[in-house]
Amino acid sequence: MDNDVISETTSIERWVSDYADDLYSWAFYKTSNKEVAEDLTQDTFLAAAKGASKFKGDSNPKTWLFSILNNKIADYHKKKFKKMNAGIMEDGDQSSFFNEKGEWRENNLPSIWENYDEHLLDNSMFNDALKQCLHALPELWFSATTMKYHSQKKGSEICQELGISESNYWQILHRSKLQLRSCLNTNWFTKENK
Amino acid sequence: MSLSCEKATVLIEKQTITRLSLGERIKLRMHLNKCQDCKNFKIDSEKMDQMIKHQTPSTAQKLELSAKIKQQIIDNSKGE
Repeated sequence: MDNDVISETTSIERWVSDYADDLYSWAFYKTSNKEVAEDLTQDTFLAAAKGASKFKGDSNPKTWLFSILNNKIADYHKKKFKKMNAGIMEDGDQSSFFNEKGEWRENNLPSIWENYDEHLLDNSMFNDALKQCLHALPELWFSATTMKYHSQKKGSEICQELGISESNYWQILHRSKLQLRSCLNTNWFTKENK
Repeated sequence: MSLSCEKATVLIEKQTITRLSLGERIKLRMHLNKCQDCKNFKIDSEKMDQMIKHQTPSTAQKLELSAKIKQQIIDNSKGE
């Protein structure tokens, strides 16, 4: 064994002990599935081990590992989305939000969230509620929403990758937003004692 | 031709990802000028974008990967 290989191996060991839990926690957060999160974490380290020679000491290994993991998370959602694409427009209908003329229903009129402020984003109870609401979305919508926020790609590129038309993509994001809003309303904004 | 609230809110979402056509922009502006409900929705929709973007590894619940899998990772990466 030459020196390079030895030092790469030891750095993987160190990275596992320093970052594996953080990577795993994030993967679980983004997929809600422990087995998937374990696989994605393993794949990340495997890719890192293969590419360790490309890793330059001048960037932070944690940042580097997270960027590998985020790509893997995006791939996971892409695959999942493609698999479920068949039932794309069937689930979730809009009729609870809009009437047949496309007007808001009286019982679902949007009102501004008065008790919203930026500090809320750092409130862990709120983040739990948000997480629950995101994961309450139909899986397909959750995947599409994740892709929107976790990739630098343009909408048109995401549509190409997902193999759907742009208008389908807006529809999914639109429905996700309506549902997410309604869930947050119920579980946070209209609850007393917040 | 004016937009329904349903169509207007689709455009609100679309606008966060891509540029609307001139026609869409005019229709949406006209709709929002007279529809407070959709205006409210737009404000909340932007808040939701902020909320989701704010989710980072530091806000995720901390979990521990089992020692067995950690060892497996180390063993497998030695084979690379």
